[in-house]
Amino acid sequence: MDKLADADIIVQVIAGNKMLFAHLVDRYKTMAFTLAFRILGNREDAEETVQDAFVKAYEHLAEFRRQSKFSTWLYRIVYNTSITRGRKKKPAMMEVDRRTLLHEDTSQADSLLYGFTEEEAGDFIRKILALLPDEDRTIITLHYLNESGIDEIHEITGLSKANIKVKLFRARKKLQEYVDQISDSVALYSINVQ
Amino acid sequence: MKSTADSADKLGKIIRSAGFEFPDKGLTERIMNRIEVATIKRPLVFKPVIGFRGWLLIAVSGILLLVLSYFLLGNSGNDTGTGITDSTVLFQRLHQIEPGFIQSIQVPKILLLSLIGLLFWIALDFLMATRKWKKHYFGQAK
Repeated sequence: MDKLADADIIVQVIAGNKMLFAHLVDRYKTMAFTLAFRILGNREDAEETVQDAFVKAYEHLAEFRRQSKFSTWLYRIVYNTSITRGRKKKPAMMEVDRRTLLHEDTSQADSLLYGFTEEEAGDFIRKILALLPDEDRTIITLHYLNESGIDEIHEITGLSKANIKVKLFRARKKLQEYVDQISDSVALYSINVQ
Repeated sequence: MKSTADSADKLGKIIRSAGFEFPDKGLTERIMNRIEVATIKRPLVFKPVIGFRGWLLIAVSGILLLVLSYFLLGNSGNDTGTGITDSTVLFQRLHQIEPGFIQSIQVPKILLLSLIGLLFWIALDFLMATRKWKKHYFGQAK
């Protein structure tokens, strides 16, 4: 059953086999949750958003015209639902002070040069990503984790292709600056220690 | 150039190393519980209020009205005085149709303007309906 194509599952779900929808949920919940989490910054909101998005996708499944992949259509719903929820709950968003990051995470940055543990790497990158604006963070997440091209990001976010290219370039540059700064502070830290 | 590509690649690796965020266990069950009570909404099928036959009838009626107006309102000499044109005059005129008849038609201005106005609204409605139909079936109108 796991090998059924999305299109076949969709046909059967529309025909009344509701339970098959669980396969689509299992296939896409991780990326959907990651996307919602990157936009909203906390797990509770991200989970509720993903639930809402899947229910919306189910209710409007008959309107899915198969011009794009199901995942692209679903992530667009997740993106829009997250943005709407984010607007309502903006003050609760996770804000990380750049200075705090640079001063407190020297040990993590040290690991960046000499080998991360998986947990450290995740935590460190999450904090760096949190420094980016919502849209940039979403674009970076889609580009690197979902391996989406400009066209797919355009379909999901509704942003123009030119705008996506500019934002992607800026976001990469900004992230590179943060990583370089951390590396520099690690180098200074190492000299002081010696 | 190579160093830029290398640094972008390195950055990609770092970002990917953060990996995905994983939801709590049981998310699928919670979603399916909500799906159980949800229903699939069937898409609205656009059906025009006035169909093709309706528009054809309107067009034929309009042309008919235009032609008849020549006989009914086009002259002032045969009015019965009650506001209703004598029907015998109408039939006499129908028998007198000659090749130069079209040029001799005198349509009252008010009727002509009304017909132009009516045709404008019909065309506008048709264009809007077509656009709505395209948007419904093919996504955003391009």
